[in-house]
Amino acid sequence: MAQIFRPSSNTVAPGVLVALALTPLVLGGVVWLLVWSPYSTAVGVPMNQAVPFSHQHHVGGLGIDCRYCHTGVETAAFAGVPTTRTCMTCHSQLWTEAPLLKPVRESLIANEPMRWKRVHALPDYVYFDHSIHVAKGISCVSCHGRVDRMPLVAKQETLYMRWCLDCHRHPERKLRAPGEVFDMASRDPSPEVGRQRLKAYQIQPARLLDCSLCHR
Amino acid sequence: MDLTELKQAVERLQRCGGEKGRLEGWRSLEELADTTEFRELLEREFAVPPDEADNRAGLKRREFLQILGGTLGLAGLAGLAGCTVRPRGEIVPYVEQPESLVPGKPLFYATALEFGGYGRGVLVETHEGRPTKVEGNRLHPASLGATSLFEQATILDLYNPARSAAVLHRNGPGDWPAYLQALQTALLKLPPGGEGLHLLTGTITSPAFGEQWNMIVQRYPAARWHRYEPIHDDAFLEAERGAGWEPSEHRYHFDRARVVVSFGCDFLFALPGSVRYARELMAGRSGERAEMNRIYVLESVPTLTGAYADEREAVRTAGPDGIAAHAAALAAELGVEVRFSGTWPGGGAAAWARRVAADLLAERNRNGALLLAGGDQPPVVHSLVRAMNARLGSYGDGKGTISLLPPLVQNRVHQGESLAELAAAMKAGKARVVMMLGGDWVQTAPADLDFAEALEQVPLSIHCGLYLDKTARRATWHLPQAHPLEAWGDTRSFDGTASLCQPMIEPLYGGHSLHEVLDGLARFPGRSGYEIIRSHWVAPGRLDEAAWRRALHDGVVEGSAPVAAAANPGGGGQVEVALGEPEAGLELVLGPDPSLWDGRYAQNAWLQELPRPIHHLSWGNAFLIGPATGERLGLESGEWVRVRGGEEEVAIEGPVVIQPGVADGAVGLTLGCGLWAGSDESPFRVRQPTVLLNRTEAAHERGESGVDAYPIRTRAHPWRRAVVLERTGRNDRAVTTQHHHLMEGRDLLRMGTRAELLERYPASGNEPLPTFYNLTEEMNDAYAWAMVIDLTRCIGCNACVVACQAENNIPPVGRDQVERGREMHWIRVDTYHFGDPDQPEFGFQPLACVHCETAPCEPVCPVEATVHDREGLNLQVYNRCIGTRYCSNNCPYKVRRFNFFRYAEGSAREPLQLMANPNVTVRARGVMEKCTYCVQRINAARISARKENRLIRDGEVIPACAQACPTETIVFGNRNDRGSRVAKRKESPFHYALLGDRNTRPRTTYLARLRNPDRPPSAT
Repeated sequence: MAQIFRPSSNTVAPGVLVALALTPLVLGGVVWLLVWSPYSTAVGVPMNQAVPFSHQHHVGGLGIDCRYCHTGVETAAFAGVPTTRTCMTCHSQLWTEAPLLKPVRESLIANEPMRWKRVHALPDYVYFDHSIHVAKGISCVSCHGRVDRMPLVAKQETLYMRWCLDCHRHPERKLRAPGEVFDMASRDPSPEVGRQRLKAYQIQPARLLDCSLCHR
Repeated sequence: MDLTELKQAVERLQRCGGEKGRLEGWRSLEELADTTEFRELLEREFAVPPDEADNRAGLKRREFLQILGGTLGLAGLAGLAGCTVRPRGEIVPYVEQPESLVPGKPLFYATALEFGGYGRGVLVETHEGRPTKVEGNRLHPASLGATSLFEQATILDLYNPARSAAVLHRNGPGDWPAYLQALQTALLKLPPGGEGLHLLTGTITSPAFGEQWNMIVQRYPAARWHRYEPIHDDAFLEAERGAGWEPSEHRYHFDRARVVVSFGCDFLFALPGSVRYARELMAGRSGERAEMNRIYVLESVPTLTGAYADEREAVRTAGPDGIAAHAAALAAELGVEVRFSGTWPGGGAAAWARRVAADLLAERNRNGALLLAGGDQPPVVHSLVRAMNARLGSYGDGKGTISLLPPLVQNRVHQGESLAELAAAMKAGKARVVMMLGGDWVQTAPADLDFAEALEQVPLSIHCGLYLDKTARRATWHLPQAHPLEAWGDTRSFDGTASLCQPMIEPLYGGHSLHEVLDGLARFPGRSGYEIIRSHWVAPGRLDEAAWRRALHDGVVEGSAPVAAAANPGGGGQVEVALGEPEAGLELVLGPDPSLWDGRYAQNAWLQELPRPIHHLSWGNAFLIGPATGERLGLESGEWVRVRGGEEEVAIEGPVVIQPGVADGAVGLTLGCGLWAGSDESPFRVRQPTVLLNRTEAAHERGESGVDAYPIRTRAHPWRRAVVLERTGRNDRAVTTQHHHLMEGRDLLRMGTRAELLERYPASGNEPLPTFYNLTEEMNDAYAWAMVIDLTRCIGCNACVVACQAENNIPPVGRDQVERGREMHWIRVDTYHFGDPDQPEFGFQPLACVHCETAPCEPVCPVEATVHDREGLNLQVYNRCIGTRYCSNNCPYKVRRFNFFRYAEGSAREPLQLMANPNVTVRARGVMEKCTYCVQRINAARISARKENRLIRDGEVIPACAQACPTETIVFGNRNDRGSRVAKRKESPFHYALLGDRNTRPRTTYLARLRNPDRPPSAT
């Protein structure tokens, strides 16, 4: 009877063993890459909207304050997206014929709301509140990035829970002075200043790690 | 349970001198008897329905492996599905933002909801135009910030997919213009006076409705308005007519009462002013005061009021030892001229009367007497009560315990006669146009009126209602009614205060308000609801523009309450009493259902599933008999019987439940169960039924929604009748949650008089035992949330349970799941019985997660899904939970609830998804859940406090259960704040922790139930 294993088997066998050992690692690596890739996180992927609204133009160019359109940001959990009427305060005077703005005009005429694709979406079991973050010195830039430089808005951060916790563990690294919260150019404070602000805002970092803070 | 076992239990109770019975409660007779069945249930945690108990180990090894393999395969597929990117959805802003609306912030609107025709003021929470929760209105006299369970559950009625959504013509398709035309044609054919035009409604207090009717009468002078409400007070009207009293309505003042004697009146639950009355009664019953008021109740079947009473007598209605005999004997003792024809009151009644009379006449109780007669009592009891109240000086506004108000209802008639008159006119062919607004009279009319048959004789009958009920099917036209939260309206409360009702949302299923439908009789095409209400109120002598806006904002029309009569009306001389001979047979006692009332809430899955107080029956009712009667007839709980009224052929069938406290010889049954008015037969089922609808419907189709009592209810016997009981041979238990979530332990509910409690529990038990947990390090926050439940105040009304359900998106699970012990209510109200099973005392104990500081659930969770936060909350993290159920197993209080199936599926779909509270996660299958202390409300308060750099104030966070509670039983707050109400209650000598000896250090603690009986503790 001929031998089942040829001499070359001696070369193949360790190869197979190594491959078997590596497969889980490689698979894990692939999953890891997938989870952190823009395919899954959507970080840096601009979203096409019905009206290509440019924050770069309106915020960076014209200097309109965030709160002009996002009216709920200081009072409610939800920052709010402007109503058609808000757009038309200016655009009933400016660019009244522009084809780009046709959907906005039609929305007003038909009394049909605009439909914007969501860029920042949190899972339904997370209860994030804009108003308290803004009141305690967390700047728009810290989560949304330099919106004033984005022609079309793209996510700047993953919004994963780990990322939330990074800041909830060390809030002092991100705190701005009260006047700087809506300032796009404001920067993270030095450790010394950060600690002072932590005290001034009366933030208790230990409490920031309780599950019940965000999950109900 | 076996009868011999019960007998043994009672004997044991008597042998041990009442110690177990008097100071240690039991939940049910089975527990008292300590049967093997009961012990097994206690150990098993979840009940197994009887049909499955036998093949519990029926799964073969092979089947198990097959299922295991299949599960693994599916899990693999599910894993792949997890790799897809979640859709991100859209943001849809307003075109023009409504004034004062900020997306994400709720708005509250004041309105009023009607209970039996009388208004109760509420505030409705709306999220971007969706009503999601009803709260009480502090400014409204009938509410004072609290609600009953009915107001809480109305939000489900609003979205209920079973609601009628289309105009029907002869049970086929119709439309509104065609209806208007048909109505106009018929009205033109009427004789000039309008003979043959009939209106039928329930109780209506709306002033605008009255004005509308006056306009119709001007046009058709011969038109008739009939009124019939199944739960009526005709007997009082008969007494009033018989004695020639000035027509009046009672407004009681329980805060001025020292001694309350109720002859079958369930004043804590069944009166239009009950929510207010319960609060007022507590003014004289808090633990801090040494002097307490005293409540005597006589009744045949336990009600909430009877269960709460200091002294309750379970007696029959008639005979020498009945309720009337007690009333007559007491009246005689008090010096009222009573003439007995035939029998005299029995010895028991006479002895009781002497004792109570002495109490009533005692100097300390001067001007503090309040006697009440139930609406279901015969006229003679009303006459006696009137005479006694007059004698004791109870009347008079300002300081008396009873104010007499001018009649508040429109069209005050004898309702039984009024409906009979209509039925006669219909049968004689004289009724040409009959408009029936907001009721199901084919179902609820006395059986001997043959209302359905009479309705056939009417050429044009119009029905307007919320559901496609039996009347809707038989009327020529059915019009869908707009829900009270969808329509303009007005109403009066129990004290006459008027309220405006405003719509929160456009009608979800189309529909018109009763005002709008009625207006069609006066003009074509009729005005809108807004025009009708506004034109009535904004008029000279009523309201100006500013006052109208103010009334809408506040929810009450200022100064609209009528002035009460000041004088003592007098009792009107001699009262004749014919007691009748002692009755040997059985007496059927009918009454409203504590969840479904007269059946108008039968479509509401929350209320259907809600365990009824005392016997905890869910999804239906049963024939309640006392242990003595059960023993005499040889009947056990679960046996089915046929109940026949006298010689008539009509009989109803259902299971028997042995309930301690039912008078010997009485058979208790509630109205309103066993009805189904859903769209099952309808060819016009516009929407797909949701899971929720299926649950109500399926239970009904299998005959599992209880016993319909209406077929046996006749004109002559609306409340009581002699009946015969026959066995059917069927044995099928009624679903009750009495045994679910049992806690094995002592001192669960502490109850007794002040002296008894202080003697038995000298140390308040506040000092915790030593522990190895490092609690100071873990919980050193500014806040330590805690709750104290004052059992002296709890009347067991279930408002907290429904409020919790509405606030926390808790789904109903259906009858078969309840039978398995899988109901999802986060808070439950346990009932304990004390003493003699035939004349027991009752105690209620609301119980939700007690948030132990050293929580037994936490160390057993393998994935840290249940953890503590720094403020002392025991959290359940749904996303970590993998459903091992170890936590529930290890919980000594049995307050954790598990999603065995996708119970919440219905609430995630249209239209019920609109009802969901957006601030609470909807839980998935396989996840454990429990009371969170309404963490969403704590977080909202914390955020607003932190923005202002201050601490949360006492009373700023009110959990849903505490907010709904009519009696302020539940108080929640920060224990670290020495001035808070919670901290103050914890200093009471009656304070105790449930199962405190387990050293779980619960944050929810109790104040013992104080009672104030006159007689010495009965040695059973």
